Amino acid sequence: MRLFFKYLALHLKIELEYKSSFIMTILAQVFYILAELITIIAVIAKFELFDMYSIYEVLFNFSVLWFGYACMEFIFRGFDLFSQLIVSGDFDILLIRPRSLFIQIVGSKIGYEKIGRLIVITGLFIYTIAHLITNWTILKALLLLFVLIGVCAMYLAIFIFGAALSFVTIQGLEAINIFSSGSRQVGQYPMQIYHKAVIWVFTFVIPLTVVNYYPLDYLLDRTTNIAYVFMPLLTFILFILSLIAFRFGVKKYTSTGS
Amino acid sequence: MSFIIVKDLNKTFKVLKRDSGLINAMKTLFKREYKYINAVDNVSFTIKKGEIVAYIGPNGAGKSTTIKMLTGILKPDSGEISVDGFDPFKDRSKYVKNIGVVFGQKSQLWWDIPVEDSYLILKEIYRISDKDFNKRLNELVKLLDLSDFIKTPLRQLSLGQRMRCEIAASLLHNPKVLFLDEPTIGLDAVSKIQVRNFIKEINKKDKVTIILTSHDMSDIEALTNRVIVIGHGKKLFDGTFDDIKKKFEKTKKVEIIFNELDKLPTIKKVNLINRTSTKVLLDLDMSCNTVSSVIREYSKVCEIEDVNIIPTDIDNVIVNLYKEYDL
Repeated sequence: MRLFFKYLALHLKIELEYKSSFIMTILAQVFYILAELITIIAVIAKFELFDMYSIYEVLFNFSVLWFGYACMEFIFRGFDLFSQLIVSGDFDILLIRPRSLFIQIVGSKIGYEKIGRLIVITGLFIYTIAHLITNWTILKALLLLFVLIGVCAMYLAIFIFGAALSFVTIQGLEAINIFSSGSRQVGQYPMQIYHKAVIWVFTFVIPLTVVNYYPLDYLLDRTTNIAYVFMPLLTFILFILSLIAFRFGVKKYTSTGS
Repeated sequence: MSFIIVKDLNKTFKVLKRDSGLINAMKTLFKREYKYINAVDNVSFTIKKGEIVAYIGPNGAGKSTTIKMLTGILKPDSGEISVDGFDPFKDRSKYVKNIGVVFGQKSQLWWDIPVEDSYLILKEIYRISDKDFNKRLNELVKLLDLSDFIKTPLRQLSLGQRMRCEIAASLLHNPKVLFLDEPTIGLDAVSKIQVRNFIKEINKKDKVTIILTSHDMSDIEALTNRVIVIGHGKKLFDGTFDDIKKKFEKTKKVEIIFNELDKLPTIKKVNLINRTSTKVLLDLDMSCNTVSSVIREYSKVCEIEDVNIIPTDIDNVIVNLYKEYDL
């Protein structure tokens, strides 16, 4: 943990070497997320879906997914960009150090530039749930916590799968974008608008529905089934699988060039 | 007792066969053909504690692959490696505390921050105590003369300065073994000599066992007498530099200075390179001559004042060696 904070400080120092570029990137990230937000509201408004779903339900889906994504891009950017470590051969250097690969990969890059996005989305999330949930219970609060943890675990798992893939194809990044960006694009709309098969895929392949679609039912009192509270934690299965895949990849590692 | 034992080491890489051209590139999408390359082929050697060993061979001979297996980065296909009782790949996390590695073409320091800050991160990674760290750092700064630029970001340093910083970084945790993969690549003469002297010093002082690869023969000649030559993955030679010279030095240049000379003696397989009124420069084929036999022939026809044996360029000797083994 101490090492993690050292890495945090290290990368902040690196970012501050290029101050103006750092600030510009953060601003760009803020505009990006605002543009996404405007688009989705416009689409929903255009198709008059607000009769069926409140705007807060839509914003909930949107902000949960983006929170998980931005949070993981901030802390685990090293896994997201892992293929670069393989291609440049710098992964060799991690292997000659007496620390776990996990902490070292995390320490290889911290996505400070995502912080702008993260602040906006956290604000939006708080605003949304303040309007969405009228009668608070402890279980609802717990569910919200699990939702945040669960969505983070899901995106981290996707990043780690991508990293594991780069042992095989060297450039696995694009393949994994289908899952990370793709799931975000699909999941920010209310799941009800999709065909059953789509919902199935986004439950059992990418467990997207367990962090926004189903929890929403519990939060809005559409169900009282207590199992719904713990549902977001199912994403940890994906996370564990991704760690296994990664470990398998490390065994296959053959290094590049001299 | 041997400190490093390598026995029957093998590593094969599966490489996708590719032909040039777009159509062939498309073909590989559907039908993949692999070929197998024996990067390291039944290599065995032992190294004693405190030894400096040069590991040489032409590009692609398997040097880096061997180093990667010795450092625990790659898993050997078969064979055994033991370094100070550790199996590098199996005991990697414990083992790597005891080794330092410098890759001449890769940096283990961070590009954008002062060198000293990088060292502080390494201190944390290797869990070095404050006391040990400060002592060691002072020592290294003095020996490698880093004090002028240790607070400068790495990107602003010259190549020579950078390499000195890299070497210091690999020694912060006081390793027992140091692997140097082309440590003097691209360095100017001054930096090169500085690095060499330092390597010798650290070997003598701390009894660090050093394995280095280099294409710079003068490096190797200056640092060590034990040389292991590898080519096409096989170990070809293991011995001293003098042995190599004896075996592969095909010709020798000798300058003979004399008072006067009317007629040159004719000796088989001796080429006259240059002649003035008082000296000749000869190129001796060592397969049927010795320096003394040639001098003897000359002394019959003239009075020799002085003889200079011109040291052979070690690169030529190595070229002969590579040729001999068809590398």
